[in-house]
Amino acid sequence: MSARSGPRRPAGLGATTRAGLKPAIFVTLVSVLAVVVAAIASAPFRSSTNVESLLFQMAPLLLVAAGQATVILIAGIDLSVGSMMSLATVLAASGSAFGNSAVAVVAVVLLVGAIGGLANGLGVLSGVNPLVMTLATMAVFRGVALLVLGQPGGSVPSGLLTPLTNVYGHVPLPFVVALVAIVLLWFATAETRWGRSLYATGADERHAASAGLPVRRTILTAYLVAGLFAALGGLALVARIYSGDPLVGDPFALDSITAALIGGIAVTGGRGSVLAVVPAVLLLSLTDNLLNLFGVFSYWQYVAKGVILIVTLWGYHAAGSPSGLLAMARSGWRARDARAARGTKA
Amino acid sequence: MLRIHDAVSRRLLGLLAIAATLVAVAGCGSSSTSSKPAAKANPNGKFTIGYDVYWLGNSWSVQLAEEFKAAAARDQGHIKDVVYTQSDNQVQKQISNIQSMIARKVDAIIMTPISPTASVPVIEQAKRAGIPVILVAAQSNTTDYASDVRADDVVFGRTGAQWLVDTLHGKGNIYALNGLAGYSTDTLRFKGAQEVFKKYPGIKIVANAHAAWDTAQAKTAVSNMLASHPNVDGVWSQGGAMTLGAIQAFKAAGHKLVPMSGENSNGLMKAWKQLIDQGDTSFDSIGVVNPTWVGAEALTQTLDVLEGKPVKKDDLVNPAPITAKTLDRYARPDLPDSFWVNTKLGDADVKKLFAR
Repeated sequence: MSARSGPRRPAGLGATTRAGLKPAIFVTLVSVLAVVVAAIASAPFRSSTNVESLLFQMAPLLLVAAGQATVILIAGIDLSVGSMMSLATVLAASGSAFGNSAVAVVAVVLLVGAIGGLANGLGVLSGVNPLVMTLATMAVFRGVALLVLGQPGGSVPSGLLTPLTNVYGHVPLPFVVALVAIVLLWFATAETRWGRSLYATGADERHAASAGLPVRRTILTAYLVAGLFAALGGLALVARIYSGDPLVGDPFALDSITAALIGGIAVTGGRGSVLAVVPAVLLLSLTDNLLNLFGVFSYWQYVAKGVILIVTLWGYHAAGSPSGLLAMARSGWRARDARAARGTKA
Repeated sequence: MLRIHDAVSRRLLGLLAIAATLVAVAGCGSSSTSSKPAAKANPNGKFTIGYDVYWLGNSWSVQLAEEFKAAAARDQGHIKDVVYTQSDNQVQKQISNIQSMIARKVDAIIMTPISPTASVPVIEQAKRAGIPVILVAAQSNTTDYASDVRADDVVFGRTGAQWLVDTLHGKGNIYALNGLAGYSTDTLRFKGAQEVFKKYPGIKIVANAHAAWDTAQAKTAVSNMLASHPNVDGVWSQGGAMTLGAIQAFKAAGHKLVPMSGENSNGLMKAWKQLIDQGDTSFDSIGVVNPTWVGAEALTQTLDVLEGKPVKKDDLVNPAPITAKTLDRYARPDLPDSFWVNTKLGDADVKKLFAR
């Protein structure tokens, strides 16, 4: 059945996993190099304040980018994740409504994340373009977040805040949770039947359907995962802002897409590895962190991130694994369908 | 239902590579933090000051930063270096910026909290590291800052509202123009206004809109309000640019102007002056002042803190509002609408700012 899902993955999903990870080696090396150079060059970078700050900063983006990567793998997109994160923070900050119980708050946040994700999935299944559907829910989630909490504030139950802000050595708990969640998600995408269906759906929906894969259920669960991970990302944000903020998640909608693309998830779907968002997020966070420490004016951070995005995409292209927009330019839908069709006959 | 492939070892290698990266990052923080006691006063020293520009997205925030820069240039005798960061109105970014200043061990940090709650942990963190934090133009829900220089937003809202009520003799239909939902400035100014309006049952807010402190958005909003509620006696606006938009909307609809509260923005000052010169008696306004020079005042406070001089913890500056009588002193027809009057910037600095 793996042979049917396209000529690029003739040897089954293990090969896909490898193929997804191999291009990420470049980003991984660059980020490791950046860490080493920075650690040698800058004393403030080595300080525990900075390391904890960096890891706290990475946790929410790691989570939301992993969810985004899952949706992009099925050739979708989720613009609503940023507003979902904001919504998660204001729910967490309305702890008194849930009896100030940490468990209840986490349950409500995750439930809302799941419902939001399901709503996106159902919308997409009903035929609405993912960009349009999630643009709409982005507005809805933001509105609900503002209705829950009209301004930054609220109070997070201490039973939730204390563990959230816990730091082991210099590693914050949200960062550990983010890593574990990503590894689990990566395992599910790479090694389970659901993961196979995910890649096949992303490569060619019609084809996956004709191969008997549960395409609709896969699309639904992919958006569900994105919603859940955005909600988790919101909780990781709470660990940073100790409160709720109805607008705090806004930048994450685009940042999560950037991270997924730098991690080598093809914007056309079906290619890449969820695990690769880890070095991508590290690279993005390092860019901000280092330019800050070296006193470079922050507008250059945007320029730098844009350049990194383009350069890494060229890198994937050169490595023979075109990703992101380059993939789109190189192989349109029709061309890919044709290749996929040839792959079936072969 | 998992299917493990023979390539598992290779995948684990990839995983290990990534794990190694993270261990490398985490390992960097091995040097332990010793929390310094509060910085010792140093009357004759030269200091490194961290200034976080919270935003450069509107003319007020730009002029705020310029006031600080000009003051820092005037006071070079006390300053070794100023470390600037820019937060782009993003809470997350501001936290990272402040933490990078703590890591760089600056002597003091000046910041405009984007969120009163999200800024709390980082201000406490700076205090633990022995770095005094001076807040400018906004507040934070902690007491761990050294000083906070700002115009009180509740007083701001109240001043405009009280003037409007007095001008209307406590009776009439009014429009309310607010800023952006989700921002504390917006909430606090409206709160101040509502405190006043509640005391006067004759005052009715017949329409209320968020117009983002923006002239064009206010013009659209007020045009719609005039269509649905043409019986209006006054406008309470929590921003000068929005008041200007309201004037334009009234004129476009051919509606007689009404008293409108405002702010110290030059655009409103110019329009107001023009109306007086034209002999329009139906309009009146008040320029409630949200001074950009708190940026300069914050530097004074910072140096006082560093030199061990006593400072006011909450330095609330609400200068006397601009009225029709004092308007001529402030209006600057030679400068653009985006200029904020009642500045401490020198004329040369102002010209330079608007020559760009």
